[in-house]
Amino acid sequence: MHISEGVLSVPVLLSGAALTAAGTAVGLKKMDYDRLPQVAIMAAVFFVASLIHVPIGPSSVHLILNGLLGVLLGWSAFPAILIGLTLHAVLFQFGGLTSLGVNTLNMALPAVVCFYLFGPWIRNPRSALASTACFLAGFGAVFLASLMMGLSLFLTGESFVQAAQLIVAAHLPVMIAEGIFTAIAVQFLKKVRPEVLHVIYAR
Amino acid sequence: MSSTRAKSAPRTATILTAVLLLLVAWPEAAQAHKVFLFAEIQGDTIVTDSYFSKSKKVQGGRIKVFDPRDNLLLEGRTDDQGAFSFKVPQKTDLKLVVEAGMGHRGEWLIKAEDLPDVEGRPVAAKAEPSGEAKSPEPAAQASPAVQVDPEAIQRAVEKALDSRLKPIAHAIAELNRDRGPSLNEIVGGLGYIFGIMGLVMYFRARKNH
Repeated sequence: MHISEGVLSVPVLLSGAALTAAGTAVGLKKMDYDRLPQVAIMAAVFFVASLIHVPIGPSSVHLILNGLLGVLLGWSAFPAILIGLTLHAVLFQFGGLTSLGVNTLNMALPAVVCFYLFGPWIRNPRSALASTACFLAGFGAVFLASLMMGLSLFLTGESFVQAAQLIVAAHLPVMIAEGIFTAIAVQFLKKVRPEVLHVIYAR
Repeated sequence: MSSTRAKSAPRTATILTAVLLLLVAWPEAAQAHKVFLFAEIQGDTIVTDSYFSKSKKVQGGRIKVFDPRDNLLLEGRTDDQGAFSFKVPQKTDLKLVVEAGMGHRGEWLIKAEDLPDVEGRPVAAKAEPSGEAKSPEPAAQASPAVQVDPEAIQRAVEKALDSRLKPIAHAIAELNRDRGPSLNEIVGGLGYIFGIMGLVMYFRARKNH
């Protein structure tokens, strides 16, 4: 899911960076600073999750957890993912500093979309409904991220259908894994720390 | 006060456990994100090896070779073993790029002085192309007193050195490049995240005073 340096064209890199800056600004503005530790913990989880790697077909993919960040953090997923990806680029050379904006946008925007789409269902008392919403959030965030990645490559010159098909197909197992993981994690949090979900959806 | 402490303890514990579990799963994990390209010169051929990790080769990846002015000289695809080889196209610095799909890209640079002459005659005296291992080089300067074609000796020596040094060159390349994130880096990264959190909290607390 990390696009390396030197792959994308300059306009794509610049617009990615600009949109990420905007998203991060919104995220910081909307953030309830009493919940800062939670954002930091989720950033840490995101940072570590990318090290779990699933070898598939011609390439290899890893857990992303942007859906989980989306439903738990809302717009604050932007700064959390930005920090996680910055550390990936600096410490591990995953992705790169020039492609940081595009990579952040590709993972954080789907997180926010899933927050709005599925977030309201997550607090539903009927646990089957809530679990399904969580699964769809985890699944959908990776799906949308794959499409965004395909779009980034397309804007640089690759054929969109081909690139997107390949990326979506490669990430299908990750989507399923993330859907299940997100559902379990959110159900667990609901039992142990229900207020984590109350705070963000109460406003 | 004590009640909030008691409340946050289980949460902290679960989150720490989750993070630790993720860390435990890490040794299997490495290298999902970077693609490596390794090239070595064997005679007048450049042999490349592209991989995500030791066990995961880049299959059907696109290899492109550029001259110093970024003109594309040739391109090809890696086979099932991640290998692709080609004749040295010209004696200039070469930039090799592998595109493994989905935004994965790796590079390898070859210096002009490491390349043999393109005409097919091996370049003089320089036996081992990879700069790191040059100790056996004196062996290449065969004594002129011997009544044998010195060029033949030189070729033979170069060939022998090439095959002998190949595993070493490989090992060096892997030491340099095939290194997953170390535990230090992971823990360091977590430290940065919580450090940033601490800084923000500190400045906000000061502002509110």
